[in-house]
Amino acid sequence: MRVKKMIVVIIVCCLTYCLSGCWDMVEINQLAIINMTGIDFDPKTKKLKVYYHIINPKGITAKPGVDRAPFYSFHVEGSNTSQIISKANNVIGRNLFPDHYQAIVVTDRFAKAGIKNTINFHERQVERRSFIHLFVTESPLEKIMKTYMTLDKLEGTALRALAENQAKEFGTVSKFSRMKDIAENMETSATTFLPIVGIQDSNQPNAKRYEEINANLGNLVLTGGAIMKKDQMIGRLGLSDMKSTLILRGENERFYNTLHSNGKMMDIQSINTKVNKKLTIEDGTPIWKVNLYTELRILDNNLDEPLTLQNQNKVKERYKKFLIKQLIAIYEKGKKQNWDLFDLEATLQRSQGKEWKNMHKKDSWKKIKLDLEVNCKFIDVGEIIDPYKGKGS
Amino acid sequence: MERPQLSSWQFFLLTISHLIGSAFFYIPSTLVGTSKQISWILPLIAGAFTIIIACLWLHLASQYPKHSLIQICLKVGGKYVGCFFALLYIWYCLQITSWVTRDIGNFAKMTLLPHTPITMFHIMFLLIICYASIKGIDTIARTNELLLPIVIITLFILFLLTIPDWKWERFEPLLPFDWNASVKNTSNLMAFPFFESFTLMIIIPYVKNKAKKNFLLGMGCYTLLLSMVTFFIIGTLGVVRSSHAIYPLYTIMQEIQISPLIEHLESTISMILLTTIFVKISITYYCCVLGICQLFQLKDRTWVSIPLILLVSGIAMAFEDIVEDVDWYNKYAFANGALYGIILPLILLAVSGIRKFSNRQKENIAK
Repeated sequence: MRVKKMIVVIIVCCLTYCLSGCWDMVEINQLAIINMTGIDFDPKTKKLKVYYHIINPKGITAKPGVDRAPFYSFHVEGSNTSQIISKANNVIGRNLFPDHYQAIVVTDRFAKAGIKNTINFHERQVERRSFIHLFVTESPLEKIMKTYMTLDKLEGTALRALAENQAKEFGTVSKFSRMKDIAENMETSATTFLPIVGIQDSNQPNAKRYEEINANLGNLVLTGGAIMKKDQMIGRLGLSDMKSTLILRGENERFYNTLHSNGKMMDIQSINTKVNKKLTIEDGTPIWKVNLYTELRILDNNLDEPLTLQNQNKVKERYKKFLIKQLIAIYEKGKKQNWDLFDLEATLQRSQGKEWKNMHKKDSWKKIKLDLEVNCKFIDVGEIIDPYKGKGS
Repeated sequence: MERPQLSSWQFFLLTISHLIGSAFFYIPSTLVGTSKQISWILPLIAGAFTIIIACLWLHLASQYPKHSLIQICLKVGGKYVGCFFALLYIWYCLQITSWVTRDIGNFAKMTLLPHTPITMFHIMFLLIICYASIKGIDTIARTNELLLPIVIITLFILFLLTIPDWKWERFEPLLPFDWNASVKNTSNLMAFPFFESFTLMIIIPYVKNKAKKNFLLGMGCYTLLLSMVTFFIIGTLGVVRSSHAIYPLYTIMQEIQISPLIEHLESTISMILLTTIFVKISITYYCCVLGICQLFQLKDRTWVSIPLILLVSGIAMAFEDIVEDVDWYNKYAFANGALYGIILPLILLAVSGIRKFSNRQKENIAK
């Protein structure tokens, strides 16, 4: 019995040599850990230029400095993916490790040409990260990829944090601007909005930002949103238009607005915004009924009168009108520019029945009328109900 | 040979595990690819049809109580024809074991350890399976009794974690859909995995009581589970991405993001797959070994189990890659499954009926 047990133990010990570690062993010192990727496409040469931010682990732990950079930016050029990967390995000298990357930046000309190949390549990878945000840049990619961020040592991590914070708190970036969202919309008529980033106040790549106290200079900044249909960029929106679009799409729960009245102003934050959307047809005319409810917080009140129930109601009415005007403006702008910003074409396609039969043509969504209703209530007026009156009163 | 005793609860869980296997991992992608938003209904239809067919199998089993499928073949078909039928069913068990072994090989190579040779996964996995089959079906049943509830609970928790990604719009439009593709999908689904449960007829004599009821109940529960998993995949991943991914459930788990720090929970789903496949292969491997032992009247399973590892790992390499596997499934799965799940049982029933009738005639003449 004892001998039998010994034989079993010896066999098990021998079998451990067959375990996977022999083949799939990974040495951290042999990896080039990618934090961010940048892709540009030159239509003249038909070549792709790919930038990699490779993390320097020693630089992450050390104090920032030129000799201990948190990451290094490598770039390679090639006509196809295999060329790029092999060239990258020639330059970097380590195995590319994409499992931990945080952001992908593509140039606007590449986005306009179509990023299908990039999405397919990305989706094919088993170890991919599909919830990372995809960014578009109108600035030269070289500058974007050769810039250090100040508070976050890694640019990819900083950009991801920027996008996620904006989407959550200010509503100028869509929370559905991730790789998986654009992949999901690749075969439908739904629109994806990708954040556009640029460099602030700088014409040169800036790798010495740690020594510069003016953090704005050469910083990455959000400048708007790219409208993506399938895999192609079809237009751009400014930050305020992005905000309105995302409100009407129901993707924006928190946003800020300023009301002006007789030279005085009131800053209001909308929170817990809920949007109910329904497409109906009345007398052959499709109507998109949108019911928006939001809760209001007064952030800054410069009105010259104390807040009473009466003038609070007035503010509420003015705010409703203001919001309706803002949202109708973006709706009409979309129609005018031929941008289906609210996925109305897809909604029309989903509507089944006799009455919808003539509405399944390509541009039928433009016939849809918007019927918008806004409801709101104040939930937080702040610590002072009667603002101080100074010289300007 | 020992005569194990399975409780009705153990048999119920074994039926579910045998059906789960690798199917709930592979099937949804194929279903969603062709039947789009209605694909979650197809498992319900396939399950309902198979339950009707399963009544036929159970009717056959009830005619020969305490007899396994192999023994029924020998009793109905006689020495030569019965032996041929029994060999066919042993081959079927071997086929299923090899395919599912290949499934785990493909999955592990593609997602977990890309540089490890696929045969290494097969052999390492089969060694454990071989050990389980030597220990017997009661050991497998007890292991399953412990593992399956953990698997179901883990799966349920993971589903809850993906709720933030849920969108009802992904279920629209329900109509129109491709009828032909849906019918083909349903029939393929009947073959894999539903018809494969016919191999459980080899162990059904070991169930103490309520075997039929628990077999059908297990099938019903699995049908609901597969439908729910498909429904969940559509709601979370959407039709477009599910139909493009080979392992949609794995993709979903990869994309779980509880916070920027807690993400990539795919190893959990890999463990679930390894567990369910382990139980499935253990059952079919055991059925195969038991079938051979019953056919050739061998008493010790050990010396059948060990060489079978090489045979199974060899057949597992029959498909060059996953594309060939999927192609075979789309073209021949139903024909192959129907042979073992419908045609052969019908022949056995018919021959059994004729034999009983002629025996009765002979008895009447003798009286």
